[in-house]
Amino acid sequence: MTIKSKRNLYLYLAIACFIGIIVIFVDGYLGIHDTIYFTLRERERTVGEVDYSIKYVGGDEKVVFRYELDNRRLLSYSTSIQASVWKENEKVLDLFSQDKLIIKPFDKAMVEWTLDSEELQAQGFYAGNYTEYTVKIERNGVERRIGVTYR
Amino acid sequence: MRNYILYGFGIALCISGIVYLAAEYVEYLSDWGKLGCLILLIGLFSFLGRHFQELGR
Repeated sequence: MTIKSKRNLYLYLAIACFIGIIVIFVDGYLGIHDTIYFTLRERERTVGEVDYSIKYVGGDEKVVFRYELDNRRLLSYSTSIQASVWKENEKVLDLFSQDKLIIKPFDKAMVEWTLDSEELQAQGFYAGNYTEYTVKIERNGVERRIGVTYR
Repeated sequence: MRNYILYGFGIALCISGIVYLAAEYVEYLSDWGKLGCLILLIGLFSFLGRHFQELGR
C-alpha cells in the first residue's frame, strides 16, 4: 500500500466514524417520543425519570397533567391513550381516555387531564398522611408510571 | 498553507457539529447509542491523527 493510499484510508475511516455518529443521532431522534408535564401549586415540571414521584400533594390540591406525543416519523401515528390512578395493583379512578388520536408526520399532539384529590376521596380513597398512588398512562403497548404521594 | 487552513476549518466545523448534536439531542440516545457514539468519536480522532501523521512524513 502506498503512503498516499494509506493516508487516504485513515481519512476515509475518520469520515466513516463521523457519518456513524450522525446516523446514531438521527436514529435516536426519529420515532415516537412522549413527555409528561404536571402542574402543582402553579409550577409546571417535566416528568423525566423512569420512576418519577410527585411529592407531596395536599388533600385539597389538584394536579394537572399534560401528555405530549411527538411523532418524528414519515408516517402518521394513531394511538389510544388511557390515564388512570392505581393503588396496590388495582384501578382506583379513570382520569382520561381517548380511543383514537391521530398525529401527522413530524407533528405533535397534546392531551390534558386533572387529578383531583376530592374526586379520589369521593370514591372512598384516602388522600393524606403520606398515602401513595400510581398514575398510569398507557398508549399502544407503552406504559408510563408516576408515583403520587399525598401529605 | 491554504490546505492546512481548510483542514483546520473542516475539523472545527466537524467538532462544533458534534458538540451541537450532543447538546441538543443526547437525551434521545439509548445507552448503547451513547456507547457507540463514544467509540466512533475515539475512532474519528484516532484516524484523523493518523491521517495528519502520515501527511507530515
